[in-house]
Amino acid sequence: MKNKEFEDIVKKVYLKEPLLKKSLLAFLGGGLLGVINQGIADIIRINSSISLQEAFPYSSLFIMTITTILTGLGIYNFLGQLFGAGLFIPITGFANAMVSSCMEGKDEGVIEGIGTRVFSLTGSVIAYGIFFASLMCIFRYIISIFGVAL
Amino acid sequence: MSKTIFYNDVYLLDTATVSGPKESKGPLKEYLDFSYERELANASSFEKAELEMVNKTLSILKEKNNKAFNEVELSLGGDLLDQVAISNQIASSLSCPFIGLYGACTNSILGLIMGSNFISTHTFKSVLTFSSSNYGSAERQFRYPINFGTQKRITSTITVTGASAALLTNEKTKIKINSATIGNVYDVNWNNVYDMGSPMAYAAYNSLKDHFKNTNTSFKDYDLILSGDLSFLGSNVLVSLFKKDGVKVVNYLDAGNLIYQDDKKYFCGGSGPSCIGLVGLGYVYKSLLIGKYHRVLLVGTGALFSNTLLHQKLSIPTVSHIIELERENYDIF
Repeated sequence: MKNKEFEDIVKKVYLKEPLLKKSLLAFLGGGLLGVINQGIADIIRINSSISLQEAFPYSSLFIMTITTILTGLGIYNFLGQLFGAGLFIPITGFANAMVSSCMEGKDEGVIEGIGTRVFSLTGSVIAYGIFFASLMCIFRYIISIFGVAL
Repeated sequence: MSKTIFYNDVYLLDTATVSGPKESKGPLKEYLDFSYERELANASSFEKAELEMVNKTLSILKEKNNKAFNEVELSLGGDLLDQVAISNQIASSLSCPFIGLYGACTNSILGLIMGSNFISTHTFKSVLTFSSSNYGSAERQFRYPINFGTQKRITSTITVTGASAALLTNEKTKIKINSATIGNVYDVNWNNVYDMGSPMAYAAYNSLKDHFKNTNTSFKDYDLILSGDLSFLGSNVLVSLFKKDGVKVVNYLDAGNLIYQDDKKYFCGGSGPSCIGLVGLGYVYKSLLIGKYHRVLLVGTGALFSNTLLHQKLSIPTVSHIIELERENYDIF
């Protein structure tokens, strides 16, 4: 039997991913997260002298802390499965990836386990974040020579 | 084309099965010898939990057959971790020679086949085989950390937590091992890690075809043909493959479909060496003992996949081994 024939047979019985349902849930999850973040920022702004622009890092920190706790309690898995990319793309996904990697290594010790594993999933985010930020800086400098300000 | 080995005087003395919490909620819970309430058992890591489960399995087996257990001349074991780590650890506590096996999810069947070979050729009188897998350690080995909240696809399978062990002997017991087929490794250019049931179905289809041809049998000659961990999707692929040849599939079940409750949270079903280990050496073995089945085929299926090679754009080869168990009719009325 050729690979092509086998593929045709598999295609016939293959289960279809409920893409519409998953997309809607991701949209809903991501949106809800945004609303919560905005709410926290507003609460900080109203109750302190911090401006809204400055309040956002604090609200993100709050969201990350909550994610960390939920990951530790093992609840985040269910949320991640339910909302998919809605929680994976925002800062919650990053926090979860780091904490879950840490938890994974705790039995192998502080250095070999937690220390080496902590960036195992998020390493590429950080590496390419720095790389493209550097590229952008060089680009900005070059066009500023010709009098264009970004 | 793979050859079928026919055995003389190879018998299954006893089996033991230990499972995790999810399996003990499934429909086959009464056939399991012991179940842990946590996937971590009483250990601090999943690897140590797997060790504990194998130790528990062996101690159950020893409790039931103390004399035979002490006379074991060779042990064979396998698991999913690098360097067959769990089995090697266990072997150091056994006082007999040991061979570590790796056949991915076929480990438990491969152990039975290798043990039978040694007994049939009179090399050894009794052989112990065991295999294990744990959801947590398998996720670590092949996928992501256990608390990493990625979305699994509906075609995914869940690695079964548990361990199974069997004692093979040359002395007559109720269950005889008749024959076995060691399968070829097939490559259908598959690289989708979210569904490994389909490529395994291709290997199972070829091995089954060879076995039927060599033994001159077909589906209806067996009371049960149990495939390892093709899961919902893979077993449908297997049925379609036989349908294309015009062969009617009867008496066929898949261990991955049986082990868990019918619930969406288990996606397509169970996988891993313990899947057929728990169902085959638990449910099927006990059904053979009480005479519910008389002649069964256990079809171990394995996806021999490596994360490193997969990232280097290579595909997932699959393999399938078959062993035939038969109940000896020795109660004469």
